[in-house]
Amino acid sequence: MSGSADRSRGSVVPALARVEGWQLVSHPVFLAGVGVAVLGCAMFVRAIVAGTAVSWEENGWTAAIGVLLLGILTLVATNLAALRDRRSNTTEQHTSLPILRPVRTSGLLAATLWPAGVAALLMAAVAGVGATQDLAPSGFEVVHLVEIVVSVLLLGAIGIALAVWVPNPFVAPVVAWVLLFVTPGETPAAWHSLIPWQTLGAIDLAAWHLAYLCGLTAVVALIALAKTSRPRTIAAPMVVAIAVVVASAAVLLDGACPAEGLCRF
Amino acid sequence: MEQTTIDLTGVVKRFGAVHALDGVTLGIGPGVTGLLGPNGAGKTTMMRIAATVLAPDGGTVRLLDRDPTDADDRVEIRRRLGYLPQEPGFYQRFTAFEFVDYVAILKEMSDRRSRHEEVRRVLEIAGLGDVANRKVKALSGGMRRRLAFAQALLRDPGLLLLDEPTAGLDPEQRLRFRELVSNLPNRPAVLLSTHVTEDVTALCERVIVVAGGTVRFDGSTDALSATAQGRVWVAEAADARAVLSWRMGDGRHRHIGDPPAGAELTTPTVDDAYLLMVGGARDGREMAA
Repeated sequence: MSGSADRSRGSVVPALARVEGWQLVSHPVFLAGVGVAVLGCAMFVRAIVAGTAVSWEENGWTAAIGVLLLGILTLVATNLAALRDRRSNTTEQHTSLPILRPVRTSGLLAATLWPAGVAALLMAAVAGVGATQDLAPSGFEVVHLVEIVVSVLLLGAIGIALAVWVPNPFVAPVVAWVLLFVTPGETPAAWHSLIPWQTLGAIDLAAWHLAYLCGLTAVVALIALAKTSRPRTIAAPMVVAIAVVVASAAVLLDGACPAEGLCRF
Repeated sequence: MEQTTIDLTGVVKRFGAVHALDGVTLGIGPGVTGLLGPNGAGKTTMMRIAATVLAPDGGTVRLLDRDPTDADDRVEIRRRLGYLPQEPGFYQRFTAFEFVDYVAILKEMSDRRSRHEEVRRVLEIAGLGDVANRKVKALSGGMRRRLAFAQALLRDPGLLLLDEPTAGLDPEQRLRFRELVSNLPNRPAVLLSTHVTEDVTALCERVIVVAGGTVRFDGSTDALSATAQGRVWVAEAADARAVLSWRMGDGRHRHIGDPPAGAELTTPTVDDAYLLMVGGARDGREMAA
């Protein structure tokens, strides 16, 4: 393939991401998630303004659950977007076009930045209200905000990977349901720190948890790309991503003793 | 421009025990070529092979002077290909503009400004400029057909494949479609698969009749009509010896087949020749230009 063709295909990804991103954030499923997230954040903000919010761990759960639901519905929305050709009977006409499947999957993966951006705006608004009121609850740091945003990215990538490997529109809602309701139980345990939507109070552990989330997101994204990409394109980034996941998971398992502020989010 | 845009040599395609294409050899150049044939004749299979979405089981295919089995060549062919499938799909939640814009991105048009200009251009050609911001789900069947046509025109393709483009269109829309095809800029090679012989007569410089997975005729529309010369007659009553016959508006019967002695012969049309040929094909008879 000529170099110019490669450059041309590379520049298609941002264009695709823009179109797909707009379609994602205007999708009714995602908008329902935004509604729930706004409600959850509003409850937390109300507690902050009223001065009854003591800490992120104690009072932030409404915002956290709201944004988790936003992420879960992002999973469903990205899955529907990735299955759009199949649902719309456009597979044949789009197969006759020069852009290949991995480029389209990359565009869709990049488009998950849009829902993640919406989640970031919501969480930033919550943090902003706390700051302006000078009543910010303890334990809420920027790293937690970023963790939540990356969780939304991860869930979006899971929706795309499911569509690529199990192209059935009924699978994603089932997975979403399972993710939402499978909880680790009330007894704290170190392995709970490996649950993606878990925030850790201690800053250093939260940073490792963020690295773990980033690695996990990369692994899922590469799994989504693996089906239609050349193995050698995927192999090196996959090894790096898995190494990040394993290393950060080891630190988390070693350091996240229940007494050190593990907080289910 | 290449002399031969589609070049098929001994192309075979099977679906289980069915031979959809059975050793098809033909070359198609610039201009509008009609592909006529009954249901199951192999027309859509031929279109899908030419659109690079289906690989043949045997024979060789060259498109736009390139080899579609080579991955790089295939991408290059797809850059210069416009394809309107038999049953086009649409993204219902998109507007007409958004849908064509999305296809334009998949045609490697990444620059937003020039892409949007191109999208507006093809929507205007298809007569959809006024409904560009309407959701696809709110468009009529004819408008959707034209939308599918518009996406096939992006980037002025060198090869335009139209699989039954007038199916479901009312007479006015069909005439409008003919106008669109006959006024295409840069005179691309157009392969038009259809059941509608009037479209072939009106548009095509050349016609290929396919039946049973083989090419039964390849030539001009006049030459196709001429194959029925001396085999079409009219009579006051129906004649059981005809391959096909029907009662006309004036009460007389038009017959196609081997006429009896003294029959009142009439000038054959493309319809007559096609019907005779397809009937002949069923009887195992071959016809040539």
